[in-house]
Amino acid sequence: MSIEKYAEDEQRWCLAMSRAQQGDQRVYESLLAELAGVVEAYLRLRFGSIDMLEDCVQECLISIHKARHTYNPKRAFRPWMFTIVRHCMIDLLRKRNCRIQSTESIGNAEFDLTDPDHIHRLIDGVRVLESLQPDYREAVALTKYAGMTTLEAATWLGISESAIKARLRRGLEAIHRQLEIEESMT
Amino acid sequence: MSKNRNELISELSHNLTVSSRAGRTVDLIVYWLALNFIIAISLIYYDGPFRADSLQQAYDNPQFFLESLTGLFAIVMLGVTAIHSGIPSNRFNLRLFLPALSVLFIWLGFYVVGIWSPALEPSTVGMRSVPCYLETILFGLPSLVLGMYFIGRLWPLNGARTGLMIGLAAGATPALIMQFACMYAPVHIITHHLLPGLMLGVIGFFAGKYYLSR
Repeated sequence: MSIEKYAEDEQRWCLAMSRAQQGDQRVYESLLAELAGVVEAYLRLRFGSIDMLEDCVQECLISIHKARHTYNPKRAFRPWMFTIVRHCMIDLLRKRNCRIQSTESIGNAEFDLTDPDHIHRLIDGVRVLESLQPDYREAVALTKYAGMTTLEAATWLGISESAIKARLRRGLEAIHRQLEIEESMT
Repeated sequence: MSKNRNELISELSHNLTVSSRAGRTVDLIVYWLALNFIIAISLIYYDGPFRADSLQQAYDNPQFFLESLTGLFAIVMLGVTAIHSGIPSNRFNLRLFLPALSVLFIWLGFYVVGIWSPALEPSTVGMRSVPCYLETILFGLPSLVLGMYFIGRLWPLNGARTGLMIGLAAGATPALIMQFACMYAPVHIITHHLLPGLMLGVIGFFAGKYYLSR
């Protein structure tokens, strides 16, 4: 994205949210529609084509709506919005498991418990997992992407269930931190 | 969630009301800090007199003045961080979170050092009839509730951390005021003023986790 487009979007969203705070319904509707696309692209890039993506986008829109009174038009719009989006996504990921909808490499095939390489193909291209430590990546991938229970994942990895839970928690925290750092660099 | 995205957007924007802005964060911080000190000073004063010469001691003794000033800084920084964390956007919070905690522990450090080198001659002058650890906890609670209310109107994303911060600030305030009301003895200050004050941080942590979490 060019710097001009970035600045132009920023200014437009800032102005639109300011008008939404004053009750301008039409502007708010088009702002939310535009943000939905932005949020979807943001999440798809980082979390891959997961099945709960639409739910995440809608949760984010609801949170943005509920938090709209905290937006200060004198401040940048993106950090405000993406902080909300990041928290929504991590919260949802904590509560629920997701599945990769389909990828070229694995199609719609079910997760194959006998094939250790399957996990790598499954999460191939999921950006948030790339920089995680291998232990954490495995825990998040198995439970959140392959849909295993913590007990199944623990058995699969040959470790205790409490160990997988700890790895999962730390993995999600690491994803959270990583997204925070990404934001602070933009 | 089974709704269609467009339906959701129409629903959210339908009958959109004017949303009263959260107000400037600075205003909220100033209101809370002012009320926080007014509440703590009034309650402590109502429950028993201040040490007659405490202000003069702060004026005459640089170490006592410095430790009180550090406590004041800690409270302000904790309050600022807590209230600011009600506005989504991580930049400011991350920058203030650790420094605020550090100043609080530096303040505590003053009294640990004071065990060997006290700012004032330890004495029992000003000893209070009601146990001062109870006063510290009880007199910090109204500020904690008020702070929770202020922050609850915003949109804190990490309720537990925000609760911890506002709890520490609320608890540290009566602990600081006690320096001027209760007896001066570093061990007594640590065990009867500061640690009970920090307890409010724990209360705030759990209260924030349930009340402030989204």
